[in-house]
Amino acid sequence: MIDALIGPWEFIFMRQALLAAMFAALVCSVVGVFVVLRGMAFMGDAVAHSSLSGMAIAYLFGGSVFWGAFAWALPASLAITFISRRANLRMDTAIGIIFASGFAVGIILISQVDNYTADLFSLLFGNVLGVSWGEVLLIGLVTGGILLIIAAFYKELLFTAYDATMSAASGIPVRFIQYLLPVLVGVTTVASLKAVGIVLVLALLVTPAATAALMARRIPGIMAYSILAGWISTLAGLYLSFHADLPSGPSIVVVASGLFLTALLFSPSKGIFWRIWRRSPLPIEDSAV
Amino acid sequence: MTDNLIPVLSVRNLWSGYGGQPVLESVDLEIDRGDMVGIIGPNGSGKSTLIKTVLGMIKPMRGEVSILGNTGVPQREHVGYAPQTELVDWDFPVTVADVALMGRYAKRGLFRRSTKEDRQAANAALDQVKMFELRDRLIGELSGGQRRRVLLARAMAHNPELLLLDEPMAGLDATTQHQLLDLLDELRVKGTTVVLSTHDLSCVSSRCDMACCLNRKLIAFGKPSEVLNEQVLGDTFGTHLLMVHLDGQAYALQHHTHSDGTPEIDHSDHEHD
Repeated sequence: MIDALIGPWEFIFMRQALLAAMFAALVCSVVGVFVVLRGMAFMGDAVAHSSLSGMAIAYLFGGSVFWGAFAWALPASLAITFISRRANLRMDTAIGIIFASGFAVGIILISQVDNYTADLFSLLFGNVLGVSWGEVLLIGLVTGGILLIIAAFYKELLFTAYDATMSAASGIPVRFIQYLLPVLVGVTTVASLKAVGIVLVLALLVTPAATAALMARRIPGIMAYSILAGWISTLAGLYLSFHADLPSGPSIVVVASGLFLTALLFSPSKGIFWRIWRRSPLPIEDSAV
Repeated sequence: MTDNLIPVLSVRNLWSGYGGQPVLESVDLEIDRGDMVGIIGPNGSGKSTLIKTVLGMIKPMRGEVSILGNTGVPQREHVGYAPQTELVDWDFPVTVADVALMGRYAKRGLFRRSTKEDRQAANAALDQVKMFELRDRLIGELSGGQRRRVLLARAMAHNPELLLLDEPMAGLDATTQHQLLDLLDELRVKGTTVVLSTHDLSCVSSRCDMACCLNRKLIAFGKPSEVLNEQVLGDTFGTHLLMVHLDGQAYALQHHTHSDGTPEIDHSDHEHD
């Protein structure tokens, strides 16, 4: 048993993977709370998919794929907000355009490389076991930066997410916040690409926060539960991946989804199971209350 | 100290609206300290536009708004605002106390964390609207009247001179409406000026000091007993209003024509001296 728990961490690549995935889970869990509250899930997904273009360009020129994605994420996030505001389109329409166009250009660029499928696979599904110390450091720095910004603007982000009209009336720079949040979401997804890949980053962004929303009543509690769920998913996912020889990104996502399902059914306050349990046994008791 | 001679709110030749299209045309108003003013008018008459322009959320196209004699920059410290409840996300995971504390933002500003003074002021506001006991409730668990009172507490938490309330009575039953109006009366006695928009003629005629009848232009502004007559109400609502006097009270019967063409008589009872 002890061997099973300690075993994986004797390998440096597993330690690197754990650190990288913990950072990614931390930032995703915190940003994810705003994403879930504001219904911005596909915003993050779109930035992740469109950043394939940035990754492909960096890849073709032999640069860091991570920086390529990073450089792409900023304008892509801003573009979604800008297009939806200026062209008077709904946000999901702007998201669809950026999502598909960036992904298409990325695929075209990557297809120019011989035998590109293996590389494309690792971009799409992540390759946390192949992360370098340099990348761990980078993910850590991005995570720290995003958390600092959230700490600085916590009150403004929360108030604007809750009630933008009233926030504007109170003097909050609402427009700035409305551009800032998508950028934070975009950069967060990119920081997590290495851990779970383009296709699955949405799970890391949304699932722990959604799990937490079932467990806690107020935002600080939701954030704490979200981080906990994210970290448990990462740790258990990497164990699962190591011992069962499964791909790491999907393993993390599967554990996160399992936690969500458990909370959905058995959350002390909102669990479906308890609600049915309390309601069920005899209808007579119900009418007596 | 506030000079009692300066009107709390003064609006001069105000033109305001959205996307270059004026909703309000040439509105002039002067509201004195401690008055309760009811703005009435049909949908699209510019009630919310007027409130948002006073708040500084919409820039006037022409004319000016001054609060306590200050023109131009939004006077956030002096103004409290409660939006229509439909515009608020009641599923958001915040408590009554959290919402009241948000009302202190105008005093605190960017980057500053809330202080003990902020929490005390928020609690005092909750106490005033009789919501202190429920401060740890999630807002989604509140009744309609309680929701209205939380929004009021948030608007009051920074002790503003002027309270702007957008449709505070909508959707409340008569008892709850009167409780809310009693609460506003208490504030008015303490010198707060209250401006509220409503569809409810009876509330304006029985409880407000001044009635402001709006239909894109200012139709009438004055004491309810003086301005709420058939002529003014007809001009305001653009429909024929029939005044019926019963036992010393006046009731306005309003002729609606629905989109399907069926006419309907809707009563909005309206007390009159």
